Amino acid sequence: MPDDVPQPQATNLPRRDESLQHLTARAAGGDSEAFAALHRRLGGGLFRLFMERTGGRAELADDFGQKTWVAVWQALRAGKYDPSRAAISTFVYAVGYRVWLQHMRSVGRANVHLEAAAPGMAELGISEDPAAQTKLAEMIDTVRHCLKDGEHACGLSDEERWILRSSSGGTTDRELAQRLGVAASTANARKKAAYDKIRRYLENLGHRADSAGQDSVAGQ
Amino acid sequence: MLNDKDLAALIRMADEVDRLESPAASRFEWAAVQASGRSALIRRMTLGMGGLAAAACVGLGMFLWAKPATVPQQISRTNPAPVLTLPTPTDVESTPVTVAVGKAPQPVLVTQAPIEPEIQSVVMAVFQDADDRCSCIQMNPGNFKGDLANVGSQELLRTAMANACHANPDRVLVIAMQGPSESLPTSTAEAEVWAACVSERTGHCDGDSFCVTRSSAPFIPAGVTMITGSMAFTN
Repeated sequence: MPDDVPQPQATNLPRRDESLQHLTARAAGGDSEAFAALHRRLGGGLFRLFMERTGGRAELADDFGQKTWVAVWQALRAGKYDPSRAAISTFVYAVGYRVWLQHMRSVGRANVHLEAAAPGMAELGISEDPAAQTKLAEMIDTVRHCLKDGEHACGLSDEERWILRSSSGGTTDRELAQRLGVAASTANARKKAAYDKIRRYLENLGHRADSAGQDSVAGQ
Repeated sequence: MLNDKDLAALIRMADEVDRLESPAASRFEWAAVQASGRSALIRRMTLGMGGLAAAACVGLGMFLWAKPATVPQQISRTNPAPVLTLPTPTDVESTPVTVAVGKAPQPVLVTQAPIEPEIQSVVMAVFQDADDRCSCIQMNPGNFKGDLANVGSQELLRTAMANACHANPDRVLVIAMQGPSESLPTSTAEAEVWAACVSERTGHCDGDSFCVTRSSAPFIPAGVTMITGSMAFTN
């Protein structure tokens, strides 16, 4: 928890069922109790992700978590988080992603693990500018929206959503083909079609890797 | 233009945010941990404790401290039922001992066999009320065959809830431990001290097993496997 968090107000203690959105709004106004409640709601999940990324190194995961929450607090207080563009959980994730990327870069492993694998996301993710985190969070939220079951705005079928999740998780075309009962080339074609749909949807909303990069540079 | 790799990264991130958001209180999830090192123990003791509970914790901490403690610091998790078998750091080397036999002082070399510590299990259930206060603690012996890591979560839960001391808890924190008998709590009083330490450090966890596990790590004796689970009850 950041040291400069102001003293909590005597009234208005957060309720257990208070929405993240409401808590965020209160935290942005300087309510440290609301911020602590946000931390309680999301801190465990964030720590778990860091544990997975660090291969179970609890101290490192703890350190990343602390850095993330300090940055989130600062962004909230500075009005750098726009709730209309991304959920607070996604914003916290994006800030945590930056913390992790910066660590990876500092130990010289960013190129191997990230920048070669997903250059646009790595460039956007590592920017110090909170606007870049908001941009990344917005893109992630858009993809989350597209991957929701029963969501048709992106034009993805249930099968295409499954293909996207499986493929991004490392499933090969051959494995996709076996599960779908089709030829590998057919599975590959369906995968490409699914990626194209989600790409077009993102680009129609103004999300491009190039523009994302320009945003982050402009903000620095 | 977003390439497929960037899109795949975005999809993975979206999945991770979903997991970040998942409400810990609505599931029963097991997490396992092994004892942490001395530095973490001392640091956490120094940072966080106060009052009587702290005194009790320090006392317990020092008790645990006396145990063999060359244990690597690690918390690990696997999906969907995370468990971990831990190395027991109680390596007893074969030590040559010279003893006198008969009248003539004939030295006889006797090799002392390694002492195998007796491995036992206990399962504690910490019953909490709606205000997160600990209402009571139930300790049951775990008569499990084999490693704790291989015991099913349902069996652990059944063992923990046997003879429950609370009829209508808001939440139950289950802590199963397996290791050398001298490293485990042997009475409810000891369990209460131990649980007080854990509860004090895990109050912020809101039922998140991994948060509980992480926060409990400093209090786990060396060579002990611990599995935690948290279950929330809704009316």
